Amino acid sequence: MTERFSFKAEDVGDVKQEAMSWADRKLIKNEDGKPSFPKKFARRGPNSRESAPDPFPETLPIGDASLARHDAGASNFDPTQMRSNLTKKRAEITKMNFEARLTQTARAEILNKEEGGFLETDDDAFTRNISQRQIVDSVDMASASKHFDLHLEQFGPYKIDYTDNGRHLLIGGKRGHIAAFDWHTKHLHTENNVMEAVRDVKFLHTHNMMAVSQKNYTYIYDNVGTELHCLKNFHQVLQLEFLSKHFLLVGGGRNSFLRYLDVSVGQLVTEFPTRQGPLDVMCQNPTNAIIHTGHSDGTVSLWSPNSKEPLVRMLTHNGIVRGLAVDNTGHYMVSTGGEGKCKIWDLRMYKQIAAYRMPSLIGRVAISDTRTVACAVGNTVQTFKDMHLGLTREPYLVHRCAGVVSDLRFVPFEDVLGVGHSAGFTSLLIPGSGQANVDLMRANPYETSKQRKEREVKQLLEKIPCEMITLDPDDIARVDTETLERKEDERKKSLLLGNRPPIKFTPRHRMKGRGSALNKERRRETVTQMKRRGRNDEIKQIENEYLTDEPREKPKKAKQDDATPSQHVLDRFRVKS
Amino acid sequence: MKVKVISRNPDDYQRETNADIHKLVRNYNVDKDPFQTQTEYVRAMNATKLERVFAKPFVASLDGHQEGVNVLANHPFRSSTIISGARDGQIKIWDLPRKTCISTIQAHRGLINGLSVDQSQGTQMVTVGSDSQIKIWRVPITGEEDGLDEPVHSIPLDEVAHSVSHIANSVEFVTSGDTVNVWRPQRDSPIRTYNLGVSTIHCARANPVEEAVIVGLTLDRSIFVLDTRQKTPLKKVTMKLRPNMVTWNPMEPFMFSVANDDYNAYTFDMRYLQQPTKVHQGHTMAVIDVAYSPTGREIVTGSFDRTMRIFGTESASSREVFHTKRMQHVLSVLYSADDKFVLSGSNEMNIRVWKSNPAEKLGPKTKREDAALKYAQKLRQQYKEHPEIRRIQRHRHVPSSVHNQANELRVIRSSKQKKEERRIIHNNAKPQRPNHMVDEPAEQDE
Repeated sequence: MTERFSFKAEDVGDVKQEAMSWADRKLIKNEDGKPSFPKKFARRGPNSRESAPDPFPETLPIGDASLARHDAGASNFDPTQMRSNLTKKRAEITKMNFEARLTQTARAEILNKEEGGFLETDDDAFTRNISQRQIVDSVDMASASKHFDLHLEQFGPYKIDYTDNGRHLLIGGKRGHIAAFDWHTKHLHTENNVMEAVRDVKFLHTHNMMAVSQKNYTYIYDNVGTELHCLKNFHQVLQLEFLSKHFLLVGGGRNSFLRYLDVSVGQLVTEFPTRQGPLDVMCQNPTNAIIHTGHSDGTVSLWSPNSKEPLVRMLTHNGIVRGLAVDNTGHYMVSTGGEGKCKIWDLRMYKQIAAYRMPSLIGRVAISDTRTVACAVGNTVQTFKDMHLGLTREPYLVHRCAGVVSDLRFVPFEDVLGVGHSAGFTSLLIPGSGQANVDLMRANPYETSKQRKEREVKQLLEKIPCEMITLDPDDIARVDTETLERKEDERKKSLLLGNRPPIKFTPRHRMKGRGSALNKERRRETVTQMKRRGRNDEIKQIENEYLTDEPREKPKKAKQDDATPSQHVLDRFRVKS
Repeated sequence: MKVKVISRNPDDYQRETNADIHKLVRNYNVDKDPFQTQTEYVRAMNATKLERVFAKPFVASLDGHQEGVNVLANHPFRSSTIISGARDGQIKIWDLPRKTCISTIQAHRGLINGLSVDQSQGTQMVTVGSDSQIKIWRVPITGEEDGLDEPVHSIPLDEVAHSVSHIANSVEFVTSGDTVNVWRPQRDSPIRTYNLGVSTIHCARANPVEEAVIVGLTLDRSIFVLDTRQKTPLKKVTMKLRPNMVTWNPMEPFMFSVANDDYNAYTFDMRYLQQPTKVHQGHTMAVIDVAYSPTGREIVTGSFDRTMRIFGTESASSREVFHTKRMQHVLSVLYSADDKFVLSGSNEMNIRVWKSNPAEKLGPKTKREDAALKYAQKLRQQYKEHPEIRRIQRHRHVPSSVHNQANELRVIRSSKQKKEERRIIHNNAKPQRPNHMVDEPAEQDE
């Protein structure tokens, strides 16, 4: 006989649910309706004991402006777009995490210790009347040492370059003199005369390697002056640029060739003629690694190594383009022209924002972290503030150099402008032109040699392949719907235009006496007819879609009152029925 | 005139002595790095490639059995103990960290059909063999105890018992043969018997959480779920080919997985048995055994095609496939209690230990290492839909016979699908969901 047992689970006492199960986790909303971390998961600080009361119980409010500054899309994230309840809950938690990170980052602004530079005159006098001597006498000793003059009259107009962290300076004179030194401590790395014309100099990813474009070829030197490489491909290069995230050395040549060399593996990526004349005005856009070149017909072209044709061509000036610069955010481009204009362009819409009339001797231009523009006009350097807002009426600061100015560069993270001219090199103090708070994860002006080595290795590991250089670097995160649509469109259009390849179908050859010719023919006929019918149906559908004149949605006819029909001139001829 | 120039104190940015760590001053106010997405993509690509470089799943081979290993079992409390039963009636208790055999017991004269360790105390284990006996043994701890060779209790049966499984939190166990019997260790006759028809029940598993629910497989290709509180089974459904093994999900106790002869593994919800909730496809020959991970999120299946696959419970395709030239038909699989290892018992008398995450670094990790590995994992997850990264992540090498067979199966499936599509177009019929079960009217058993 089978016994019956009743199995009832008995509760052993009251079991409290301590841990929040994942499925039960609910958003805890504050009084103002904003979600916050559940208190259970809040970090415990030193004042978490009940005995010590918190002297500042209210949380400090965060301004909406600073929240908006750090918002990289957290507010656009919409959990209600998710399809299932489970993913919706997960998305809500993700959004909560994003917003918590947003508030923490906005609060961390208080950690920025440094403040930017400024220059204020008494009695509303013009700042352009203040000389460098006056500024240097008024600032502290460390800043005063940042202003210095190198009198090198023999070796011709100098081209200059700073490393990405603004610590090391490289100068190259036209008559062959090259020197690399740490301009903070004035410690000289190497000084050499290459006995040839030097057209341009450029640091590579560290101050240990420099590229020098000489009379015929481009050479790469070490920090002690050893010649490492001779780049025979880079023939008569007038301008050099280095794309640091891609390890690409770009040379614009006298024969209008643009050459890209991958310095990490030492291979020429691409070279092509731009057919716009010698490329002596060139700059890179630091946000998307696109090369901007200015030509003698007043146009500026934007180049990427993936296409032989320019991505964008802008008509900027009536005369030749003398100088180009793009700011750090990639939003503004400054260009100077031979007709004596300095223009600011919006690079998102490729439209002009402002144009300023300048002396026609205007040459090169540079733009700083805080969008201070420096223009070279003959022997003088004129700096301007807020050109991109259209408010500039007079220069900010002016300085006369000992020779004709040949190169201008702002030092990143410092209020310093480096000027290379025909009598040597000058370093000028321009208060308010540099970004005060430096993020050491991006660029470290105080890096030790060990840190530099680690950075080099990490940079090499994260080297972006050159195929990814496009106008919008965020394209990689988007779905490529355009290509799919374009392919579909092209296929449909080719069908419409009569591109109908003959349908070939071979039926399976059956063995062992089962493959009769008659059945084979029958099968071939039926299948080809079926396919042909399918294709004709598709063509008819495409024709309806593309070729009919009728609008797809017929507009609803307005309801007419029977008492007052619409009247027409010819109504009296209508047959009354 | 008031003038200020940026003047930084280098002491704020440089460390004082060599013994300090470097200072990292951050500016969160600065614009987002414009190349951030592209850099992350490159990092994700590197992380994916490195994962494949470090993917070395094979850990160890446990040698010693003299016949094919067809049963593997975990100890419920001691995660270092594994018990295996072979086809010559021998059971071995292994110490997994040391990869040694603690003790060997000649349990039966014939196949070991089933093996189960007591869930409530872990001191006794029950084996059933093809010599129609149920034997209860002491589980050795060190292997040097006396009296391990003799069973604590031995029960002769009229029929061959095909499987044994302990009931949740209890010393009672369930055996199945012609009928389903519930036993208590000291008794010589079952305390309850369920007669479910004429077919032999070749596998019965008690739910690890609900003491009253048992799932079983009969030789007429059907799955039944039995509630011991009621007289008749809850439900019975029939599949198209014979299911070989069934296991309960330890975390979601209303789900169970079934390994089937039609090259698939199926996951069912006990409440809705009409169709499986998930079909796990990937094997190219009959799936012999299935086991759940202790997290309840993954299953491992062993098949006749000499490979083992790990599937996510929610995914139809396998995450990993393990194979070796030396491993022949996989007769039994097991997930270790810490979710890190997978064990396979095979035809050629070896038990192999594999890492369930082949690229995982075992052992203690420094905080930085751990953070870097977690970052790499998150990157792989975030960018897994990009075509290049997906191609590298999904690629696994399989033996050429498996590869060719998989291609053939793909062609077969696609031709069936095409035929179905044309039938629908031709008859203007509605598309039907694929039916994995045989539609039968509900049977009433006494």
